Formats: sequence, C-alpha cells, structure tokens
Amino acid sequence: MKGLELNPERIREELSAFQQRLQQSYQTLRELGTVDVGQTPRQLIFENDKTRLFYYAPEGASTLQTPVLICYALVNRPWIVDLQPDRSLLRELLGRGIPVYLIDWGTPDAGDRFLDLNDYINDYLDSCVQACCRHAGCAQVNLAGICQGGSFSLCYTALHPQRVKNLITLVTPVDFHTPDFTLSHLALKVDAALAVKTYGNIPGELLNDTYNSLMPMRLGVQKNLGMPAQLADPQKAMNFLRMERWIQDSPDQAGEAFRQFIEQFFQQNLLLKGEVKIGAAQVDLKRIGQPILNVYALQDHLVPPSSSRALKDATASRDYQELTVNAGHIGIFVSSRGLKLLPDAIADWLKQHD
Amino acid sequence: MADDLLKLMQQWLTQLNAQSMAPDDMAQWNLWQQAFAQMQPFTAADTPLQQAELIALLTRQSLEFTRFAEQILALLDKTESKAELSLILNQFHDHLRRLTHDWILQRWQLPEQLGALFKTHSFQDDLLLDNPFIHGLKSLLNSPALLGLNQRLQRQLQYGVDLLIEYEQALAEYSGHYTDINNAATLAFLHHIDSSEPAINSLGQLHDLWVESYEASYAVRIRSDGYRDAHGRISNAVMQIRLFLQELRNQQLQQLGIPSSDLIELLVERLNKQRKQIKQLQKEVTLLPELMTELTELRQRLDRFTSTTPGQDTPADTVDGQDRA
Repeated sequence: MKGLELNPERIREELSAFQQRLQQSYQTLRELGTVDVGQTPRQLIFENDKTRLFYYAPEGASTLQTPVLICYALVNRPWIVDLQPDRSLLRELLGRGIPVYLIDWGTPDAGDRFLDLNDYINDYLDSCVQACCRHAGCAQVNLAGICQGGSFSLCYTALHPQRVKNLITLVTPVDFHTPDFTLSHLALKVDAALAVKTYGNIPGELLNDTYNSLMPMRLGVQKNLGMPAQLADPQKAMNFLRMERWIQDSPDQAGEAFRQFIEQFFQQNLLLKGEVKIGAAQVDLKRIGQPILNVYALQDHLVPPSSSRALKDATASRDYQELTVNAGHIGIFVSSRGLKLLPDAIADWLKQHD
Repeated sequence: MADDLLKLMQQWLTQLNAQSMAPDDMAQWNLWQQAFAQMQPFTAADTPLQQAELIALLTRQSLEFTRFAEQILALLDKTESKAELSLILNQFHDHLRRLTHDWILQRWQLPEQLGALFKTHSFQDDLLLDNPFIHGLKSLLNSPALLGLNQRLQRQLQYGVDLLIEYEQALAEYSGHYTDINNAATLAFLHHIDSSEPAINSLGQLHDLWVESYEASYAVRIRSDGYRDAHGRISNAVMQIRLFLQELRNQQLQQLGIPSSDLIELLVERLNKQRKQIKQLQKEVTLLPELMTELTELRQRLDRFTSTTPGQDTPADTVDGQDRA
C-alpha cells in the first residue's frame, strides 16, 4: 500500500489536536447563550388558522410599487432567509428598498391532519396575498416561492394569475422525474397513503432523516468529526448552532397535504403535465404569462438544477430569465457567494419589472 | 462538574502527549470513557437543550473516533511492517461498517412496542438471521383452536407474523445494498490510497478519502431501481407493522369503551369538514355587505331611471303586472 504512510507520532499529534479542539468545543458550548435567529424587526399583519403573515419594512423609501411576498416550503422554517444579521437575504432586500412580506405556515398539530393542498394554496396562500395587497395598498404581489413554496407559487399563479405581477422561483422543483432527482427517485415506491394512515401528520424528524440519508457519510461522520473545528471558536460556533437549529426545526407535515404532494408531484410528476388537482381546479402552468425569474443552485443535492430548469418551457411566459448560483440548496440563501449575487439580482430584476 | 470534566480531559491529554503509558493501555481508554460518562449530567444541568444535544452527539462521535485512533496506534506501535497496514485498513473498514450498520438499524427500527418485546429475549441479536421467535410464534399460530385463541385474533396474529417476516426480508434486502455499497467504496478507497501522491499520513485524510469513496459509490447505488425498490419496501414494511400495532391497540381500547385514535381521527376529519364549511360561510358573509351596497346602488339607479322616464313601464312593473295577471 504505497500511498499510505501512517506514523504513530503524527497520529498522536492529530488525536491530541482533535481532543484539544473538542475540549474547547465543550467549553464554548457551555458558555454560549441562547441561539438567536430571525432577528430582523417585523410586524404580524395577518393570521389565518396557524398561518401568519409578517411584514418587513424596507430601509428608507420603498423602491418598488409592488411588494415581495415570500412563500416558503412546508418543510423546515422560513427564517432561513433571515438566519442572522450578516446572513440574511431578507435584510439585504430591505436594504435595497424592497418591502417584504413573509408567510409562516406554523406547526401543524393532530387537528390539522386533514389539511390538504387546497387549504394551503387556495385558502392560506390566497388570503395572505390578499392581506398583503390590502396592507401595501396594491392590487398584485411579486410572489417569490422557495423550494416546495416555489411549486405552490406556480400552482397559485396558474390558478389566480390576476393577483401576481411577477414570479420568482428559488430552488424550485418542477420536473420531478429528472434522472438526477434522487429524493424523488427514492419517494417513488414509498406508500404515501400508508405513511399518512400510520403517522397521521408526517413527523419532521422522519423527513430530516430522509434528507440526511442522501449523503450519509458527508452529513454524518464527516460533519460530526469536523464539528470540533467549528465549535472551538465562539463566533463560528454560534453560526454553526444557528444553522443546526434551523435544520432541526422541522415541523410535522399535515398528513393529507403531504400525501397529495408526494403522489401528485413526486410520484406522478403531474405539475409538468399540467394535471395537478388543487381542490376542484386543475393546474395548467400554461396559464402563467407573468415575467419569471428562476433561481437555482448548481450544487443542490435536494432539488437538482435539471428539475428547476424544466420551468423554462413549462409556462406561457415570454419573459423568462434564469439565475444560477454556485451553491447548495441552503447555501444559496446563507453563503457569502449566494448573498453576494442574489439580493442584487433580485432587486434589479424586480425594478425592471415593477 | 464542568470543571471536573475539563480537568479529566486535560489529564487524558497530558497522558497522551507524554506517552506515559502504552497506547493500548486500558487504563487510558477507561479514563477517557470516564470523561465522556461525566458529560451527561454536565450537559443536562448547565446547558441549553440545543447545545446539550450537540454535546451528546459530539461525545458519541468522538468516542468512536478516539477508540478507532487508539486501535490504530496500538497496531502501529506493535509493528513497523508495512504488511500490517492491511490490518489497519481492515480496522478502519470495520469501524465504518459498524457505523453504517448502526445507522441502518436505528433508521429502520421496529416500533417501540415490538422493539421492547424483542429486547426482553436473549436472542435479540439473531433477529436478522434465524429468528427463532418468529418461527416459534408462527408454528404456534398454525395450530388451530386447541390454543383457545379465537379465530379473529389468530388471523390478526398470523398477519402480524407475516408483516414481521416481510420486515425481516425487506431489511435483509436493504442491508444487502449497503454491503455492496461498502464493498464498492472499499475498492475505490484502496485504489485511491494506492495512487495517492503524496502518501496519506493522517487519520483525517484517511477519513476524508473514505467519505469521498463512499459517497461516490452510494450516489450510484441509490439511483438504481433495485435500491429504490428496497428502500420503498423497507419503508412500507416498517409502516405496516406500526399500523398493525396501532390497529390492535385501537381494537382493545374500543372493547374497553375508551376512545381510540381511530375515533379521534374520525372526529378530526369531521371537524375539518365543518371548518371548511364555516370558512366558506364566512367568505360569503364577508361578501354580503358588498352585495348589499351593489344592490342599493342598482335600486337607486333604477329609481332615477324611473323618475326621469315617466309613463314607461319599468321592468319591475312588468314583472309585477305579469305576476298580478
């Protein structure tokens, strides 16, 4: 084995350094206080059951007539766009004079087991759009959907085109059957109806396990062994903890909505076929004529670029633009690379289309 | 407590650095384990939950890593021969295979009730292999009425055993994929080591190389139809067992006159329907003032129209006239 020259001395040093960092990590973790997230000042302007709509005022005068409404996924929490002051897409947009509204779907409990996609899209999302319009004194919104929230935004725009001025989709799955869409591939043979019958609401922890299982060594062994290096420094430790808190903050999924999404989107790929049913209505993406900015991440292991790029030919929009960011599914919102590119690109595009 | 712990860790480090004891000296290992053992009360008492959980995770992983590193050290200290490196790699492979195995079992574990049942038997480790419990139970259930079991219960238990067998087979099929992934990853790993220039000289590099090799093999495998089917099969098998136990429990509760989760679910479903109806009504009620305003405006316009064109029949008059006729 010519490429391996392990030396006891070197390993002792390595082990010693590892343990020292570990020791420092324990010390740091003990001294760190509460982990703050989503610190940008906001105002609760509307509630519908557990769904809440927050308003974030722009810094200075608004540079847009139409505000941005961010629709996040049901999975995880929306404050990834406002993780910490120096890693906040939301704060960056406010700094560019853009008024932002953010939907928080809340945490479903056992009583929400039968909430379906019709509830989420035609009731909660629709009522938030209307509340946003009332609050901003406008007739339309710029709808920005993230991940599953992007799929919801596509459905909503197709069903209520008159309420959406421009559409921004971020890391949004559109074609669920591209060859590199691993998550969708794995979901194909899982009995979603059985899952809902068994669990009721689908535990968020179960979904987190599924995401982690896409890269078990990288997100398991490697990440954990690299932790002492991250945690030894208090500042880095706090950043790490914020991210971890977001990852762990994974609400359960309302059972019926989960079943419908898995079956119609993941397993049957009906969004692209124009056959998704929301309530009694069929979602035809060709009804979308709005300008579209489609943002995707090149290193996205959850929603591969191939899936997002399928939007290009799926709608009737004649003003379609793509923005690629060399980051991962979450890195696009919190990495310095993502934050260097994304806020300006979104702000400029919106100003051109206001 | 925290200071004690840190002191203990420092002591371990000093010993390691000074090499005051043989690397395979169990006393050293015990000292380290002792330090980790002390971590639990320390975290629970002094630290916020998130940090405490992270410390627990760190502790587990570090324990594994340290144990592995010390095994390697012991081997290296015993021999300088390069031939022994294959032993080291075997150790490394075993170490990671154990982690994978633990991960699989943890992810696809049986529901708590069944898990507890099996833990009370000494053959728990044989679950994936021969499984005398299942065979025994199955043969027991195959003997009819003599046991006094009523037919329904017997049928249910038979179904439960079928589910367990399906689970066992699904898990074996799923584990088989991981064996293949591990083997492919090991081959790639050895190949990378062989061609590594400069030579790998740290455990960190070795770990990173393993992660790369493993993820590459894993990514190929999980995109295969075979893995997809095995993943679906084990997912569904675990859920079916869980559901089966829930249904048994619900029947027992029903017999005792206690509301079961089935009943609660039925109520929730009805409440949800009513919630939708109420929301629809609310929407309609919200629209009523607007409709009333529109109606008033229309009436006013009609009145104005009537007053400015005397002698002409209004639609209302016509209707009235027709009605009267």
